[in-house]
Amino acid sequence: MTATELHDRLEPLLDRHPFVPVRVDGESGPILTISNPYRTDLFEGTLTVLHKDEGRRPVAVVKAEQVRRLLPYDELPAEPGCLSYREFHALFRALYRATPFRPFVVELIDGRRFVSAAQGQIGVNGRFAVYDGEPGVGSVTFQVAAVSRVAVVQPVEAA
Amino acid sequence: MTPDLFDRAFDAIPVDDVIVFELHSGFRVVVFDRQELRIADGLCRYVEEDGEKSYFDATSVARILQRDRPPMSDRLRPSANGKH
Repeated sequence: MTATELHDRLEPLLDRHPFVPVRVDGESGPILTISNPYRTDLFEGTLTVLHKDEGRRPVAVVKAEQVRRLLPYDELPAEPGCLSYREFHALFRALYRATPFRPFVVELIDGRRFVSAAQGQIGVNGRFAVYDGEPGVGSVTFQVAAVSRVAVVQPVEAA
Repeated sequence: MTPDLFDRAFDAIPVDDVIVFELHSGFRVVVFDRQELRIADGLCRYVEEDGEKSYFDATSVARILQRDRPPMSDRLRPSANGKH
């Protein structure tokens, strides 16, 4: 890919709102993932991803000619038995913002399940989600790609 | 900022806007999407891009700012002279 091609392809992807992470592929597979548009620089055909906490320190540097394609995560297929990025985020966003809020469950392919009993008990940022457990239990981070199901929790009727 | 003031300032921001929490320490937390957040009991928890979980207390917040998402064009320069 030329510097111009990289620029023209990358710019609209970084301007998306909500932002969707972008996988940068080289000839032999994925090179890096852009998770934050504001920590991404492109200068003279060099793509630089900056460190999250350490100012301008680069964590990955890639030349345009090394890049074969850019793949937004919502264009990637789902892992077997799991929801795709697009499917998960559509479901999660709708349930997170539902008014009135209704508790919902997120199930992972490994059998774990997390119930969001209140808005925000599960938070999501791109490829990752964090479940906040009850006080003293701590929190669990999981990958969105491992989610097999998201659904409203159905109330159980008393006998 | 008191938790009450914090809640009111936060609620006044349109749901799709970028939120900037400016802390008394000078540190800024930029939240692009509200679903990264959980606010409860005066504590604001958020998920970072690498899945790390962070939090700050409402009382540590000096200002809550709303801003439109700025364009990326300044950050993407194909060449030093601005030409492709």
